[in-house]
Amino acid sequence: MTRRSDRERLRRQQATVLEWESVPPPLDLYQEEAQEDRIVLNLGPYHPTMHGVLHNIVTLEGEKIVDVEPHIGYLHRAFEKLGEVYSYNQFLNCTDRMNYVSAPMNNIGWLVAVEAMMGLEVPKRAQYVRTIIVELSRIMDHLVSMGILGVDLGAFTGFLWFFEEREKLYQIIEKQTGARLTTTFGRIGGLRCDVPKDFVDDVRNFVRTFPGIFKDFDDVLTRNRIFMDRTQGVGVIDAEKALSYGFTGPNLRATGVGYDVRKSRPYMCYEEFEFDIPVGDRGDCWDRYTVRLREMLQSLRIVDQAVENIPEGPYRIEDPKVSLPEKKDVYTKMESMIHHFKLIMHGVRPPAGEFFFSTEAANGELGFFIVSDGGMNPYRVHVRRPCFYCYSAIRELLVGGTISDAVATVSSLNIIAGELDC
Amino acid sequence: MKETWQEAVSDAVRSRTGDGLIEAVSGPEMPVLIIEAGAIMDVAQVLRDAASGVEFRVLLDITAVDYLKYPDSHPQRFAVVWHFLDPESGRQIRVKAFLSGGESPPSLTSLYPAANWAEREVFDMMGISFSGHPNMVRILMPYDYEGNPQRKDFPLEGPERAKQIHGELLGNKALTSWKELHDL
Repeated sequence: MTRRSDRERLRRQQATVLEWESVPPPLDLYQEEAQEDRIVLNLGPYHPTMHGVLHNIVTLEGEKIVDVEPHIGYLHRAFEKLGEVYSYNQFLNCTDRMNYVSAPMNNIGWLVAVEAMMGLEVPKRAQYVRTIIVELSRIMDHLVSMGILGVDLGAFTGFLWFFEEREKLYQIIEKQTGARLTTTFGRIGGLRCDVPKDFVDDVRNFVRTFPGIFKDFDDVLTRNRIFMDRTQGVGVIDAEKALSYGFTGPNLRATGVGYDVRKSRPYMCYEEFEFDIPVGDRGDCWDRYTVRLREMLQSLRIVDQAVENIPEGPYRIEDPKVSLPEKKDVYTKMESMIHHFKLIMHGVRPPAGEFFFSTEAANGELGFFIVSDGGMNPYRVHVRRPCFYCYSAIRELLVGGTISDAVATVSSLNIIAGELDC
Repeated sequence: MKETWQEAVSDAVRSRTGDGLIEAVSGPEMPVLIIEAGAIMDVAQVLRDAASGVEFRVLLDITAVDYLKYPDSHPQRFAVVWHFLDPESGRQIRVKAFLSGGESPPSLTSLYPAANWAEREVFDMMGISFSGHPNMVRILMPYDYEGNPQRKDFPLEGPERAKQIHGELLGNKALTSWKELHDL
């Protein structure tokens, strides 16, 4: 306050001088004053609109952002280092904690990478169940991120409707994996166990009821005048820039580039399903929002096709070098016990060499770079996190906008701190 | 068909960089170009400007590997690995350069802004700095942190790590018990 009053006094003095001498004041005095009017604001590390532990030091001129300095790493848990002492199946636990909003997608990303490295052909039934769970978690991720976008901009109702739907999905996943958040879904070579009896009914039920809730949410938020004003033309990035910053996933598709790993390099059994890739055209917050909304319906299409055609058969590879034998065999058969012991103690061993494999996670291309020396632990693991690259363009997106735009932009990018820092 | 674009890319890179391209091999999932670290700028230029007909417009990832404890021998201790992507066709390519600890390859930030944070991460984790980078500081670890955690000689845990952290406090004498550390 003293600074403000000093400035007032200076201005008054200046005014009197001006009246008196009627000469223009030196220009640099004004510039200095403009500099002085800048406010440095800490958005984060703990800020309700920053979605996790993100730290942005924002320089403001009035309400306009003139500079942003992002600081990350508050949630860095050294998973890449841990990966070097964990076995391939153990590292699955670390992947849960990367994008914790849609953990099964990271699990499958890791499993598919290791299986591709080992050249394993996973049974069809496991592929279909994985596809269903992965697409349900894509819906789950978009439910949260778009619900929260509404909350950040003042619309609470739709968020609660979506959370009710998310709860149904959590129950489906809980029945399958035993956990809600850190799912550790699947194992190398298939699934941990077969799906529960009511899995198909639960999924069918969700596929039937979800479009109604979706329509309600769409009606209440998408064409809401306030919501449109807050998101259209805000946080714009064009396709050229987005590509050069390494954007992938819905954030890239919002700029009009129809790149999706599921179509470009189909993994699992995506080539068997019919679905479209929704794209936007302007690359603003509203486009990122609508692309995600439309993606949910496409995911629902895939789930619908998959759940109606789940084939019978084994849910994992019947190879004792990859998947654990049945528990009852372990207790009664010598051979199974040896396999069990070998697999627990010496692990799954991919061949020596290096391998990069990426899948389409909720936020974009999630890649695992694995260097193996033929042992039970990866020699080196590196995770290509989609958030990391989207967030590196934050300066590009925020500078020139207002502080309220920053909230909408960060929210629409759907930055997950756990994935960002890894 | 698959061979053609891979050969076209390696030919285009070879004609631009000459000896910069050491070897072009086909990995199990994508082609791999092994290059001299200093030639990465030219290689990236060729890849991005579609001199070979494939336009690698996305720098997907940069990382590094420390081969210190790898069973097979390698030309140098470290390798920096770049992954590029062509979003039109979905094709990927890996570029790899071996280098010793002190070398610093050129930064790709001017070509691909995506390289900015990715190179900072490599610098943070492996201690490989990139020349010409606008802001070569740590990104994940605290700014005043010492050591590069992803290097193979960096211990994961245990008294060795504690000694490294508290080495100065202990006056560089060996740590005998955890209690000693606790009393500091």
